[in-house]
Amino acid sequence: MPVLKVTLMKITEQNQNGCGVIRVEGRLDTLTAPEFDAAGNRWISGGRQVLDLSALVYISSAGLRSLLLAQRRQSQQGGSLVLAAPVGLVQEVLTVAGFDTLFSIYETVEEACRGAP
Amino acid sequence: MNELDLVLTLVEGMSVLIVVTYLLTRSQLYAAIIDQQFTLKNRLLILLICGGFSIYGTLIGVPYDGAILSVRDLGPAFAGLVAGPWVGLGAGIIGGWFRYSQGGFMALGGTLGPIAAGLIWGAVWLRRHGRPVSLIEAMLLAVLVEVVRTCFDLLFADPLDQTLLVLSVSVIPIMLANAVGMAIFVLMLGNVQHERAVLAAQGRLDGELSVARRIQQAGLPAGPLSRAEMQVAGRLVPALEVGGDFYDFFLLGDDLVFVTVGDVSGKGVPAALFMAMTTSLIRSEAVPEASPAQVLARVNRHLCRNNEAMMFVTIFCGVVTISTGQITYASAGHLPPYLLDRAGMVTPLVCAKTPPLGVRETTAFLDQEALLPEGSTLLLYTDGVTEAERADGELFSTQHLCTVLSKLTGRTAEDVVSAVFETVVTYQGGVPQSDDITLCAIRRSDAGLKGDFDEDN
Repeated sequence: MPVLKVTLMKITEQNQNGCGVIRVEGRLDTLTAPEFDAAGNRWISGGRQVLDLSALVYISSAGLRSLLLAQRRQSQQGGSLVLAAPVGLVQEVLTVAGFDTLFSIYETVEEACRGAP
Repeated sequence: MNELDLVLTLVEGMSVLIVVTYLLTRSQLYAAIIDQQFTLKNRLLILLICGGFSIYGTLIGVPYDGAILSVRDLGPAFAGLVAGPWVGLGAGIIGGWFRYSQGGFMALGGTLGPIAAGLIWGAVWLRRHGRPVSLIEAMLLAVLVEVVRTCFDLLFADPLDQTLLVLSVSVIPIMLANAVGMAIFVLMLGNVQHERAVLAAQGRLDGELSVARRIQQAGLPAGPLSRAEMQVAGRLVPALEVGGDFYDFFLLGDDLVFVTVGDVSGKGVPAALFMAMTTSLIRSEAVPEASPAQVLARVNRHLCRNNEAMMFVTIFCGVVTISTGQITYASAGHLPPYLLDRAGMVTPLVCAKTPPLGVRETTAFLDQEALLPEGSTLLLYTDGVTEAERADGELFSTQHLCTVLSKLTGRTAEDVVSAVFETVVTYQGGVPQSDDITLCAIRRSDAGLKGDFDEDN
């Protein structure tokens, strides 16, 4: 029986010149957060990881919680997690929720990889 | 006819019985039997239906050398299994009587077989007290019943050599067919019982959730706070049975009112538990001596301890001086409230950007001050309002909220809350609410307008 599957979120991991970039596309909410958390098993490591949010169109409080969980898992491994290129509503939500004081947020993925402000 | 053919023919005839039995397990009658409602009527019905099964078994039986090879023992066995020895016996007598009326040289064994089946399975029912029979047990018992029947056949054998001949061909196939039949019956009964247990558990959970919802709603302010100089009103409509949003307001002494609105990450029961914890902490920490930032800092320290799940809560809280309209407030990652003035201007309250509660124990919160002018209304809300979704995916948005609010000058706090809520519901159309919607309005009376002072006069 064919199963109708709507892709609400897509996660791709890539290595850009030694910099680990995780790109999240679509929506990060109650429905997709568990998938995001599970995907962490693939990329969470000791190093510095950049979460590319440029194609994320929506984030709910459940999604914010997933970011915090990922950050904690990263630091438990001795690594770090930074955010890059949030736009529109996502940027607004991150600012209103005061997440810019919890995460380093960069305007572009390149800057995030360099670690420059 | 070889033995395999005989088994197949018997099982084929049995399939009708199995379908009818399946329908029976879906009936009110069977539900009543499972619930141990053994009224005379219920017992009689089972007795007659299973007696009918037995007659049907004889009718579809395979005539063999003057005997009738059949699964007529199944019906009474089933009656005994579900309703005890008396019903089993009754069904057995019906089946046996019918077989006897058909005559033939092995009629007596064929008559006693169903009766024995009903009694044996009835004895099992007595010993089991409703506990299910396993598949293996069911098959072994079916074989036992056939052994007993075979003994009757031998006991009343006349002539013996012909009886032996028939039995030598039929004993094994009939045992097999009966064992398969009983196994299928027991399987169906097990399924029905499991299904009912699942439904019952579901019903219990639904019941508990609706109690939880009532408890949660009962924890909210009972009604608006109404003073001549100021009124506060709120509304919370959860998306699911229970939710993670909350609002609260209460007096701190005579001239101070504490107001708060918050939103726990996620939804459903986990969010509701975290919300309950947060509101109790706020109520115990909100004392006249503590500023809003101090309240948030204390609640935050409690929430950060052992917060393995990384749940968090965004909160706005403030203390309003009723006589002057002065508000001291602090926000923890919450949406800034909107202030609507007498002229219809809507401006957001400036809020320091601070992370939510529950994330970091060391977070510092900032007390900020503002004045609610006479005739103005401060609207606190959660993102369930601004992110309410229309069928085309468009969100309600803060702009829309401001527009709606700007038209509500001069209205009471209760009116503002109702009007905004109704607008959001209309905006959503038929789209189910995806997040909790919470609104809380603080209205400072307009001294320059007649009417607001009515209560004082």
